[in-house]
Amino acid sequence: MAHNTNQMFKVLLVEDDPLLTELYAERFKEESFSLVIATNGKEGLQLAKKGDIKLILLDVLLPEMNGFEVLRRLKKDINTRDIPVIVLTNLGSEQSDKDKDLALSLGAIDYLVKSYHNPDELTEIVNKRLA
Amino acid sequence: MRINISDSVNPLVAWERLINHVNTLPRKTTQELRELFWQLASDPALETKEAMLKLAVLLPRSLMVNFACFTLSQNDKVVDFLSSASFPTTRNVLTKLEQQQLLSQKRPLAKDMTIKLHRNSCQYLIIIPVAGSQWRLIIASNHELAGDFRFFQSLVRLLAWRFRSDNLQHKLAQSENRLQLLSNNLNEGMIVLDAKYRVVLVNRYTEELFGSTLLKLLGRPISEVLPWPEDRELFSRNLEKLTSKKIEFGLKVMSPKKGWQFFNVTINHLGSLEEKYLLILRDVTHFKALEQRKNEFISIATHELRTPLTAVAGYLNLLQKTDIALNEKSRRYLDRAVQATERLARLSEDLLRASQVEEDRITFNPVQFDLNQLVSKVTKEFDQRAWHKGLILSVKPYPDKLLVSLDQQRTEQIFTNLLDNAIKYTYLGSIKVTVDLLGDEAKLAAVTVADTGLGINGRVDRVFEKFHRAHSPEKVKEMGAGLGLFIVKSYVDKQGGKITVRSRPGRGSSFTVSFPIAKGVV
Repeated sequence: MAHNTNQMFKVLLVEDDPLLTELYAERFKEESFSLVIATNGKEGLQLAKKGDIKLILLDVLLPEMNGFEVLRRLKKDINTRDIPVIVLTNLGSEQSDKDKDLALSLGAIDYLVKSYHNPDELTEIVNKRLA
Repeated sequence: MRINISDSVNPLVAWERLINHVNTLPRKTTQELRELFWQLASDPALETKEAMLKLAVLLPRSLMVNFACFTLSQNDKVVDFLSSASFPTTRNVLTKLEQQQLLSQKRPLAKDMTIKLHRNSCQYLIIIPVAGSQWRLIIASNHELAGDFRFFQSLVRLLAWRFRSDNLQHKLAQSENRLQLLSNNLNEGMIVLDAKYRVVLVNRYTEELFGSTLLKLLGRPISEVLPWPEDRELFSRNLEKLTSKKIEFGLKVMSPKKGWQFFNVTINHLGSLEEKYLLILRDVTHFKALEQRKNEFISIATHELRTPLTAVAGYLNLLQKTDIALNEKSRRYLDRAVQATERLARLSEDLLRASQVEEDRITFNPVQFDLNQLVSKVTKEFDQRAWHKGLILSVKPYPDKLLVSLDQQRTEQIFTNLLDNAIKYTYLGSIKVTVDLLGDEAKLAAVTVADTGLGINGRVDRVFEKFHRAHSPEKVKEMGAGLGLFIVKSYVDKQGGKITVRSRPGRGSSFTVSFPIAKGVV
């Protein structure tokens, strides 16, 4: 199965850009959680429903269905609405931005701009949330 | 016998004199002549030529003189010649006059002249110019005209007066035509209101925009006739706010045909009571659309930039942490690459910030904090860079707490950008940051960043413009996109602060940012 000794937590990453998915996969290898990757919204919703996803990292700019729509559906579905979601994006900014307000009002627990955080920092944030 | 045609500007004075003259008309003036006189003074329907003809008939009867009148063209040619039947043969007279150069335009108009014509029954000829026109009257007589002269004086004055009045009417009509022509060819809406905000004048563009006509709009208050009810209050408010300077505001309206339309409205003070306010409405929809597309483009471009940037920075970070032993050279290469990506990241952030600021998408979350602390913290971050460049960076805080209510992150950005610039453009000397209390009642907290750098060439106020760079690329080694100060000014303005700059090329610059002290603090 997975290569990690401790598979306690599964984190779902919904991100379509392979440059970034590979980067995060690489970094998260060292961590205590395992990473599940979906490259579009539909796939993300399916995987989220499957269960034992402890945290979702959700990109905004996705093909076909945008991240906010995915977020809405996640929060509507009983099976998925209690999973904490961190919205990741490379649009806009982290401080006082309309997109941030929207994300938080839709139920996301955080809103991060990918280019502001190197993989280490991102990992730290994920670990904090999983605790 | 001089006829004094002084250009009395005041019609009442002239009128009074005129009446006196009429009352002293020689008894021999017939009733008809008197009536003609009054007619000249009061009947606008009486045309000049008609009057001259009547004079030609009536004057010989009344005063035993012969009468003629003529106008001269530009090159001293006689145009329009009228005379009474018994006037000495025209050709003789004119030849004589020409010989004596009495026909010349160049003679000053205020003079009259009496000449003697020998033979025939006419000895004396007087030529009287009528001020304000090209007309000249000729009175031909056998006897020297003495007392009757006053009559001619009055007559000429009256004629001059009429001409002046006609001229004014003509000019007025011309002026109005011109105004109408201009205003109707404007591609902007033009509205003139009186002191009570009622419509005095609108141009064609406005008529079309409002779907009405000037006749229907005249005299009605602007708030009543504005086709957009939701914006009536906006107009009223701005009209009331107006002082001597003009006011500008934006208007967004929905038109059934064209969809959303954006207007830029300017209100100017005209000064008189009847025409007090001038409103100009300019359609800037196209401009706004362009702006929006531009901002969207920048947003997308930034996003596109960020993704590979994230990847590069991310992998470099992983590399920096790696267990694999890297030799010194490799490590150095790695550090340089990291620095470069950091700079790239800063640039793209600046670009995004600038476009967001323009779009007004930045929100501010004010909290109370001590400005001293924030300034000290930001300055500290530049210690290393300053040291590397051999510059002295110092901070002098205010001896007491200075509490302000501002967005911390944005305010940090202000001083970060100012210090970044100061260090960028200074090669020798120092950068001094001071925090102080300003204002008569000590209500402003002011931070000054003063450097001994290159200073600002050209117009100092332009440094806050987007993409403006005060130095040519050859002079400055470290580049920027020219957005730093634009962002600074936006952040200062949007938080109710003020920024001023002083500079001497070659000696240095000094930027002062001031904000009001937080309320409730003594």
